[in-house]
Amino acid sequence: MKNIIYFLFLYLIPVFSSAQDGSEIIERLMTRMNRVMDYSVNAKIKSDIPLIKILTVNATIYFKQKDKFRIISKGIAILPKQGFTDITKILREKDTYSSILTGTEIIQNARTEIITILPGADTSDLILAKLWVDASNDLMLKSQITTRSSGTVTAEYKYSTHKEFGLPESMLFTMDVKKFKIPKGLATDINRTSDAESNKPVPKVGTVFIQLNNYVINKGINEDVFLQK
Amino acid sequence: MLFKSVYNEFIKIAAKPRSYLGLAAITLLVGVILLALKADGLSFISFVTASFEQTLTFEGNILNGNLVAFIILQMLIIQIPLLVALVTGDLVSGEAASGTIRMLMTKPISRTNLLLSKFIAGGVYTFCIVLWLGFMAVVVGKFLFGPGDLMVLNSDNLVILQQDDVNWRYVGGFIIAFLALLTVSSLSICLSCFTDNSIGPIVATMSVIILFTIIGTLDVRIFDTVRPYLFTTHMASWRSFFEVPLPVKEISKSVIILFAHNVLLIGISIIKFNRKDITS
Amino acid sequence: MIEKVIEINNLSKNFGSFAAVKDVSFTVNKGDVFGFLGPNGAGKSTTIRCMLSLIKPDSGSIRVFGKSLTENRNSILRRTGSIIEKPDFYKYLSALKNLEIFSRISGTPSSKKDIYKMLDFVGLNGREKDKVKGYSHGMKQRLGIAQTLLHNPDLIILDEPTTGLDPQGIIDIRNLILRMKSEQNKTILLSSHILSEIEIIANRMVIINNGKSVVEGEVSTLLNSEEVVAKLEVDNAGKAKNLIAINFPKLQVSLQENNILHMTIGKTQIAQLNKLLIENEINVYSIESRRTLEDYFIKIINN
Repeated sequence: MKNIIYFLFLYLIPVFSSAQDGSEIIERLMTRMNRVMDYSVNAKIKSDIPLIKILTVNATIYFKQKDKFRIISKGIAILPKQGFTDITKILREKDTYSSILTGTEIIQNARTEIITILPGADTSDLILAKLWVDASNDLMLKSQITTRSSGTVTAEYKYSTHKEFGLPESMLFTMDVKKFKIPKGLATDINRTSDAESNKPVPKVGTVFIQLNNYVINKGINEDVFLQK
Repeated sequence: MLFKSVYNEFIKIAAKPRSYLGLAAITLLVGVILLALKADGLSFISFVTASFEQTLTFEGNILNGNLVAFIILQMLIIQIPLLVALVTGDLVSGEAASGTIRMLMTKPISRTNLLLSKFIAGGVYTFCIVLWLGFMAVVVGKFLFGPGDLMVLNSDNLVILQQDDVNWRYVGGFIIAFLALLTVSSLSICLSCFTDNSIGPIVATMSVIILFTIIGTLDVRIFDTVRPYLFTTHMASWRSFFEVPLPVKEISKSVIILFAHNVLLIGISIIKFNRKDITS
Repeated sequence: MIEKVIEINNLSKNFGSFAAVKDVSFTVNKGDVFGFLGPNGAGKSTTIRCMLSLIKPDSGSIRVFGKSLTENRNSILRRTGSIIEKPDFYKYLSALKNLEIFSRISGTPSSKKDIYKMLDFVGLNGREKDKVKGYSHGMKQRLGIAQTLLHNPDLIILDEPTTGLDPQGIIDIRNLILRMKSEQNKTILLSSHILSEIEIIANRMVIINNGKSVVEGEVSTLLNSEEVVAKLEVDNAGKAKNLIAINFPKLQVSLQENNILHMTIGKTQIAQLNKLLIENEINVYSIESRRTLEDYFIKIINN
């Protein structure tokens, strides 16, 4: 009996603890994030999407609490649909989801808690979200969002000088990319002379790497920046 | 004498109302497309981006002057040969029909020189047409829609070219387009040497282009051997300049084939014109 | 020694199975106004086109200014001015621009002043800047002459220059040709199907029929001794006919209308005949003599 109690203590307690609510960690994460009222940062966006050829694009990213966000680039930039602000948007709506700690994982040599987020309503676009949080530093090192509309997008974050604000220096997004087809009427290569690439095998995963530098934090950003022209 | 004859040809082309038809048609067509894209271009863009919307978002001015110019060129490059042939197809046969070729040929200018002057004048006219198309599409397009990266819409992929990387591609593209249209000009002048009828060479030129285009498009094995050598196959090679990496081999092949067509057509014309009895 | 400007020897040209020109030969001397006479379709234009290298002959030789046309085309054409059938110009251009265009490639470019002078010479002053599409046929013909003369050629070839002109136009062109001859001493080859035109202007001529040259020589020699078709209107045709039969037994006389007699008679015999009828108290109301090209041809060919 004693052994049984010992067994339960030894094995079930961790199970209970791993199924703990992740809200405390999320709360700490949000507190750190909320210290940033606004920021602007220069970004180098390198997209590697199957069947899209694009060079690295320079852009400036602007953010202002609570959910104002704008990317201004000289040229065209391609970003994952579930990107920067979606995680914070989801986490901010505390009543719409429940969070569970579902394990740990070593990422970037740090032990991370895996927090699984489940939407409260079946009608939500969100199916499942997972956060890998370095609980000792309150930093999110990885996230994964699965939505009905956009599939799964995974993001890995690396931090350096602005880790106290929870602002990364680089992000790597990985997403599922379905083979796309531009309608014939819109495509402009009807008389193309060189070989089309349609018959070559196409990878199903695309990545977008964003290098961030020159953060300007909490210096105030004019509202005009967020007006779409 | 060749230079003087070329100058004469310029005067004739410049004085003919028909010569301005091409420029007017380009202005009108491009104007209509620009107006349409200005009014409803964003829905056009949303059609394009709809294919990616599940996963990706596009930031920046997609509907910019470079994309507009590219769309215009793609749409109009098929109609331009008609506008070129309308003038160049008339250069020899029109003079035969009106009797002025008889007057010219009683002057101390060799038939070869007279014909070459017509080829040169036809080439310069073609260049003017291409230049005007470029001005309307690129300059006016950028003026109305602003600069920006060019999104090349292929049926199975997208190439996004940075705006600083686009201008030289347009120059290269226009040079190839000019070479392709020069072939149309040479073809129509060549056909013009075979008849004294003014309309015949114009219709015949368009018929040849349509026929070759059909042969080029039909996926039938018997045409496989001739297809790479038809000039119509290379008429769209201007857009090779908008591919990454630049298909240098393809472009060189197109240049060689188009150039060879011009040499061949000019050669045939000179032989025919020198043997021709002027009976008009 | 007479300088030969044009020498055509055994020139032949076929269009398919149709022989347009068959062994035509003639010579034009320096200073000649040379009549090139023949009915429509006789091969005149084809011959002239061969002389201007518009058409390549099948056989025969053409020498102009003593040189072979085949080998010296440009240098020959530099000294030649021509109008073939009707002068055709760029209708959308002015007379001035048209002349500038042709002058530029004539080998002897003319100044604007020269062009104005030439337009004045042909009577087109004041209309220089009008577009040719507004010109009458006569004006175009005169512009054609201006184009022909502008580079001061030594040889002028005019193919049917009066075709389609009204009587005044014909007189104007005829006078222009005579002025070219008298004032500028040009060698002129003039083709026509009208014998009287040649008779008035030319000093030498060749007749061509069915692609063949029939006769060549001095106009005065060829035409003056010839017979004409004469029509006499008298008060007593029967008596007149008998008198003629007695005195001019070789003449074939026919009574075609009331008191009108027709006959083919030598020019010099007309005066003798008139004298005879008056002496025999026959009133002669009119004598008309005519000589058609066809009549002349028939005679030449019959001979």
